Amino acid sequence: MSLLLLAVAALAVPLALSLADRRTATLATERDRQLAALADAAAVRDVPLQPLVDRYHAVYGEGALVIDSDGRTLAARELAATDPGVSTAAEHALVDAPTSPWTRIWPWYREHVAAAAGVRRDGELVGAVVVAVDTSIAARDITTGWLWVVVGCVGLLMLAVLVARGLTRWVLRPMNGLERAVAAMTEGASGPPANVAGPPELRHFTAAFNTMAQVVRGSLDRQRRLIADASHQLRNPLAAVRLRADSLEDCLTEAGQSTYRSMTAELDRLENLLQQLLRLARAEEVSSSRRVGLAAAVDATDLADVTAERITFWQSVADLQGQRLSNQSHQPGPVVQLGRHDVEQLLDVALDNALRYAGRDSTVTVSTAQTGETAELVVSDDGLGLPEEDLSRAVARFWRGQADVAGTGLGLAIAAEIAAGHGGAIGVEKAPEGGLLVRYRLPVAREAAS
Amino acid sequence: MRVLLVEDDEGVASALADLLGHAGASVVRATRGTDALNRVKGCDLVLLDLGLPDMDGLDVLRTLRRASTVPVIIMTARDSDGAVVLGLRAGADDYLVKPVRKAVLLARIDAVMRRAGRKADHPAAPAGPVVAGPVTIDRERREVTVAGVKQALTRTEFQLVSHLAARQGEAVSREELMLEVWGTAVVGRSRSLDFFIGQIRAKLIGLPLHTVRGFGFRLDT
Repeated sequence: MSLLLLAVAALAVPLALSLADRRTATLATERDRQLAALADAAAVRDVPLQPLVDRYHAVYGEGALVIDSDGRTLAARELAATDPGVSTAAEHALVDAPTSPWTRIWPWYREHVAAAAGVRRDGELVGAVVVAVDTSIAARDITTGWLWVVVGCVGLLMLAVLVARGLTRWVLRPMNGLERAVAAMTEGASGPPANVAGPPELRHFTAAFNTMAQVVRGSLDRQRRLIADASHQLRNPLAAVRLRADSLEDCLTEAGQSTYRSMTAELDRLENLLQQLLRLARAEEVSSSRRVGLAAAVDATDLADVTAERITFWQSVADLQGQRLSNQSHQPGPVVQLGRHDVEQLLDVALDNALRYAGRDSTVTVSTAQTGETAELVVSDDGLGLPEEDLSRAVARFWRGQADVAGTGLGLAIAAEIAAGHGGAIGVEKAPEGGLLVRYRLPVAREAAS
Repeated sequence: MRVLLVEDDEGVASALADLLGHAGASVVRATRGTDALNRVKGCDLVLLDLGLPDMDGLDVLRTLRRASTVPVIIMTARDSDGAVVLGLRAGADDYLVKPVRKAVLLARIDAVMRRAGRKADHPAAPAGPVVAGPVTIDRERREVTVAGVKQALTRTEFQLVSHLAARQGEAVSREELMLEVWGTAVVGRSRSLDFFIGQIRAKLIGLPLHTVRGFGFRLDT
C-alpha cells in the first residue's frame, strides 16, 4: 500500500511542478510580448506617455511605469519607482542586464511580479518600462490543474486498490478451497475435489493435490474393500469345508471323534471371525459414508428401551453362567441419533464381552445418562477386569486378552467403528466396582435435544 | 427329487452335490446363469448362488420366475439385510448365507419342498375339452377342432395350444412357453415362438389368441 502511495506521488509531484512551470512560462512570454509592445510605443519620440500607461492599465488591469535612463518617472499608473521590486527590475532593464527567468508561480502566490524592459530609440537605451504582472489568474489556473492531478491520483489509487483486491482474491480463493479439501481429507472424508482456479502455478498445484487426494482415497478404499472382499471370498471354501466336515460325521470311527469335535470347533471360530470381519468392514463403510454426509435417515432410539430388551435377551446366557444382569437405566431414557439396530449391536458387544470375561458369580450393570448433547451408555462389571496397560489396547483390532482363546478380538473394534460412524466414541475404563467398564458416548437425537 | 445346483465355485458345488446325493436327490449342476435357465425343466428345486460369472443370480431368478414356479433357495455369500430382501422379493422361497451347516440346509430344503407340495395341490388342471371361440381343444384326445372340423397340428403347435388352453384367460409369458415347449427359459432373439404362434393362428381361424405386448400371449374364451 505504501509502495503504491510512493508510486503515485512519484508520478504526481513532477506532473504538478511541470504544470506550474508551463503556466509560468506561458505568462512570461505573454507579458514579455506586451512589455515589448509597450516599450516600442514608448520609444517613439515625443509621444505622450501618460495615456499609453493609462490604456495599458485599462486593458490589462495592471500597473505600469515608464522611466527615463536616469531613473526619473515619466509616467506612472498604480506603480511607483520607489517600490523595491520595481526599482530592482528597472535597474536591471536600464543596464540592459539579461532578464532573469521568472520564478515558478505557486498556487498560493498572490503578489505582483515586476517585469521590466528597456526602451530603445535608434539603438540607444533611453529608458525602461516596468509593469506589475498580476499572477493571480495564473495561480488560479495552476490550482485548478493541481486539483485535477489530485483527483486523478485518487482515482488511480482506487483503481489500484480494486485491482489489488481482485488479484488477491483470485490468488487466495483457490487457497481456501485447498485448505478445505485438506481438512476434509484429514478427517477421512471424501469431499469434492478442490476447485482448479487462480494463477497458473496455483492451478498446477491444485490439480496435483486433487490427483494425490484421489490416489490416497482410492488406496484407502481399496484397503477397506480388501477386508470385505477377502472375507467374502473366503466364504466359498469355508462353506465347502463345512459341508464336507458335516458329511464326514456319519462315517467317523470312535478314535476320530475327539479330533472331529475340535476341528468343528475351529471351523466355528473361523466362521465367527469371518462374520466379524465382514461386520467390521460394513461398519467402516457406513462410517465413511456418514462422514461424507450420505447418511439419510434421521434415527432416534431410546437407550433405556433397547437396554431393557437386550438384557432380557442375554439373561438366559447370564443364568447359565451364574452371572447377574442389572439394569440401572430408567425409562424413558436418552434418545440417541442411531438406528435401533446399531444400538443393539453396541450393547451386544459390551454385554457379550462382560459376560464372557467377567467370570462366574459376577454382576454386569448397564446404565444410561444424558449430559447436554451427549448420551452415555455404560456397561460395567465387577469381574476380573483388565490390567491398566491393556485398557487402551482393548479397542484395537485383533487384540485379545491373554486368557482369551475363543474371541476374535474384533468386538470392541466393531463397536468403536459403529460409534465413530455416528459421531460418538467408545471408552474402556476400570469400573468402580472392580471389573471392566465400557462407556459409549453417543449424540442425542436432534428433536429430543431441542 | 431332482435338484438344479447353480454354483460357480467348484469346491462348494461338489460338496453340495455329494451331500445332496447322499440325501437321496439327483443333482443337475450348472455353473452359469444361462446353463441354469436351459436345464431347469424337470427340476423340483433350484439351489441358486447369486455370484455367477455370466449374469447376476437375481436376474437368473427373475427370468426363471417368469417361466416357472419351481421352488428356489438362494445360497450365497451376500449376507446384508438388503441382499436378503432383494433375493426374497425377486421370488426366492428361502435365503441361506454361506457357510451353511448340513443339517440346516437339509431342513430348509425339506421345509421349502413341503410348502411347494402343499401349494401344487391347489390348481387342479381342467381335464375336459377347452372351448375358445369356434375352437375346441381336447387335450386328452390330442384333438383340436374348428367349428366341428378336425385340424391337423404339429407336435409343437399342439403343445403350445394345449399349454395356453390349460391357463385360459390368463396371460402366459414367453419364457414359460419356451420352457414348456423347448425346455429353456432363455428367450433371447429366437423368433421360433412367434413363427409357431403364426402357424397356429393360420390353422385355427377365429382362435381368440391375443398377444400381450412385452410379456407373452393370452387365450380368451
